[in-house]
Amino acid sequence: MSELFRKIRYLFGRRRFETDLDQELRFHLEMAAEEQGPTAARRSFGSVERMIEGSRDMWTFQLLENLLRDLRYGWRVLRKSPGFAAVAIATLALGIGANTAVFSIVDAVLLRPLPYPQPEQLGAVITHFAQHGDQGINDSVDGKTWELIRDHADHLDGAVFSGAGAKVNFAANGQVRYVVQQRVAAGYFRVLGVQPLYGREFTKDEDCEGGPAVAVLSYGLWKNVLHADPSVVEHTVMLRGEKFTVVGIMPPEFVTDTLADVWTPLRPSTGGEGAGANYGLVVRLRPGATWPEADSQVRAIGAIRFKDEKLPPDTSVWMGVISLQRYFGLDVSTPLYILWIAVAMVLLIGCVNIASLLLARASGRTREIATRMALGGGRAVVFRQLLTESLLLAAMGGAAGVGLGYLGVRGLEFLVRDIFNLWQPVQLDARVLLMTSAVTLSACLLFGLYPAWHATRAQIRDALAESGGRSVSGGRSRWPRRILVVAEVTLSVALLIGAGLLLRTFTYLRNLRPGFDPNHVVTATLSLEDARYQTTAQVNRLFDQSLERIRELPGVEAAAVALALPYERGINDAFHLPGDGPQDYHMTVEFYVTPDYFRALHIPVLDGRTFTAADGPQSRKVVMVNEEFAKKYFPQRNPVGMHIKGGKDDLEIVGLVGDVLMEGIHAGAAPLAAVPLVFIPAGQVPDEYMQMMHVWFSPSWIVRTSAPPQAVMRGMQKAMQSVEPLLPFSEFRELDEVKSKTLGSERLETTLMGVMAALALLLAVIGIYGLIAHSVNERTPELGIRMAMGATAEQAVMLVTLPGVALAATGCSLGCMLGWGAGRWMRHLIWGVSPTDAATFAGVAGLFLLVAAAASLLPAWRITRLNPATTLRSE
Amino acid sequence: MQPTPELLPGTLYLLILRTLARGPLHGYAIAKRIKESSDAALEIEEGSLYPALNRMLVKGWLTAEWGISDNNRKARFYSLTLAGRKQLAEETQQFDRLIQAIQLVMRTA
Repeated sequence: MSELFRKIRYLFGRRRFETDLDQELRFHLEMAAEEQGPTAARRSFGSVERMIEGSRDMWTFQLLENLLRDLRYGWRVLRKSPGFAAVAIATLALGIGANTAVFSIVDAVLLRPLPYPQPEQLGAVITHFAQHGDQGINDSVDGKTWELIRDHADHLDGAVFSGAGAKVNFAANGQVRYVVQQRVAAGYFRVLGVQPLYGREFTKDEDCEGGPAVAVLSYGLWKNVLHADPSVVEHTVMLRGEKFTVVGIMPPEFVTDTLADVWTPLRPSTGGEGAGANYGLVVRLRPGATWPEADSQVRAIGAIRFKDEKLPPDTSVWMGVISLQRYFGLDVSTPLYILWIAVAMVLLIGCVNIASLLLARASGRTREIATRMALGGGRAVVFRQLLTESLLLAAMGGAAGVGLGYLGVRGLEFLVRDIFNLWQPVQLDARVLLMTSAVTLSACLLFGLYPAWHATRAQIRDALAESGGRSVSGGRSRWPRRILVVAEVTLSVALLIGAGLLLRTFTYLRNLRPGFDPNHVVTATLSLEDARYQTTAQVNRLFDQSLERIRELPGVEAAAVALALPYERGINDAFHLPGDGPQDYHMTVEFYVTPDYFRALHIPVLDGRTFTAADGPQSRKVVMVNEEFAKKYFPQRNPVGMHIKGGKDDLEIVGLVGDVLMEGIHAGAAPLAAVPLVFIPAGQVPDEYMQMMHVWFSPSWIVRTSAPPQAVMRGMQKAMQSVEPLLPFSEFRELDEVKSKTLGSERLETTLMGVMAALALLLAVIGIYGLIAHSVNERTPELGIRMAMGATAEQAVMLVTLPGVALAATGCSLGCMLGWGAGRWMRHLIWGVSPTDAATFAGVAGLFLLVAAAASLLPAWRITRLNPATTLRSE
Repeated sequence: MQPTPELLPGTLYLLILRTLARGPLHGYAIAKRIKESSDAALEIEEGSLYPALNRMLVKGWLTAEWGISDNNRKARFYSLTLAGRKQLAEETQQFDRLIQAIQLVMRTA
């Protein structure tokens, strides 16, 4: 303590200390001169500086002062080469900025603890399946499974819920708006650990077949529409045209990945909706239980559940528990991690580039460094100083990077909002800044450590003896830089290959034959989850009347309604083939259509007939199938005239049509594919099934027209209003927009990866260019001599260019190997092209070699203008 | 000239403390006294002596005052503080133990 006090007193009496020390040393030298003669005194003189410095150092806060001195020194050095500093800081700022932005998304979606009490106790029950060595996860369970878990998994407190459907009509307090409705079982809020702010959550009596219509409102809806009036509890609001009694209001901070505004009871069952895997199952670990225990319990229950299920060959199924956090990020974690790895690689390449630049600078500073070490600056001191320079660069790059990240994250958030479902706020908070600081520091060590070590290893005598560029430049000292350049080429080639594979996938998906004519078609969508449309007759009356009006519009050639548009998904349902045993079933995608559907989309009818108005509830049940369905279930046979069974109904296949691209929904299916389809006439859908379909799906009106789209849309809205004034179309789209939306995540991934790969390519090219330019500079005298001795300019150019191309070639082959691994890892995202696609690999390698050759030739070209006489004279 | 044997680390402080135990001295005299007492075997360089003295001032083992030297010049005299005496006793004990131990090893091993 007193030591600190004395040091602080020193800070204020600095001048006094200096004069004292000065006088004391003078006295010492005089004494020495008197007693030992002038020689001895002069010998002492050599160490005067050390005496003063050493004595002063004792009084100062060593570490801090050294750091400040090194920083000042580093600042001066960097200011002397602003070009280098600017390139290095810009590289770092870009790399760190991109990492900051992407990490804040990754953090919000995958890493930040969920906003519920004890989030580590929360999980979800899922079904794993493995088929032909490919593994997948089903994130939903059916009613039977839920009942087994509820009754037998005593380590877990669970509740089922459904995903959000279309926005529904909400009316209260004289206001009407579209809101997101989610259906959840009794206990859902208890499991998440969040109590309603007012009122209560659903009881078991409300959450069963025939229970009362009750609702829990979100804080936002309550505040905006009901003016935060607590007495609204036990009052009614209108939802989809029905009365619901409000029983609870959730607190403001409560949010899930569904971003729901209204919750209503799920009423889980084992029939209808519950017959298929349509429920999410969230669980909380009961006190005293552990996750491994719960997992094995669930696994055992799964074994019982699937014991009697007939599974396709080579398929195994088992159930388990995963953390709720992982559950929420299931669909997006791979693309997000790929993006994260890509930006990390760009930063890594940037660091390698800076390291390479630092090495080049160090070779220019060999004499300076050697001189300083010869003058007694210890190796450690010089090393520390060089590292401080790097730290200074990293700090400036990091600060600029955070700034860029702040700007970038808003843009990125806007781009990815719909695709990654950013339900937790994306923010540059302490977590992100901590991560950025760690990244900056490791970047600094990455690019600064080796060059500093390399520079201080120099032999003082050799460095001082070698006067500038007079000697033939030492080949050995160039190897470290070459290795760095190979490393960055390797990384960028791998990144380019990844981006190339995604680009090929995207092009493949975009260029798939749609199987219909998407031009001159306008579509409009509205939700039929409405109390007034409970029966098939009611729904069909709306279809017939509205289509009739729409057909009267000028330019309309055909109009139809379908539950699903091309590029969208249909309903996944089971059916039976003739000859199936009682346990056998097959899965297909199906949806209802009105008779003109095929004519409106120009889907070719290959055999049999299409539906007519006569295919109604009273007539024989019929369906149509597509080629893919026929190929899969009736190979080598004409399906027309065959019968299949759906539920209890016997269905006759009356027509065969060409394939239409739909969204792939089966695990392991491409985002867009020709899937097996069964078309059902809208007039023959059973009432219950119709209701269930409209909970999840909204039907679309499809109009083929020669009139301009805008006029048709206005006409359609008017036509609908005249038939059903309470249900306006909520969305008009052309089919290219539907396709774009389905391919949205592929487009985004391709774009982002493309940008990253382009950055990596640019950095690698800068690296190669810098290497060759530096070697040309360094070797100018040598080349001058060679040319004076008769070497042609071409030979000299080849001499310096070839290493660049050779390094690029080495990096390319290593990068191809890395890319091969990356392609295999990304294989679930790659379609229509092999993950080891030769054309992509060759294309990337070829492009890279070409660019590398250009980057090497550019600086080498200066040699042709070299005048040997001048070069030699400057020796 | 015979090379100066290297000091064991930390012993410089001990030598200075011991030299000052008999009374205040200026820097040059300290170096001289150590050289004479060791039969010219130990020569303390100025580059080590003054940093060491300053370090000991920081530690509070010494105080320094300006006075008049034997040849009537202004010189800076160092003297032990109470803490310095304590430190001397402690370091002497430690040093004795170390030397004994080394000697034991040298004799037996």
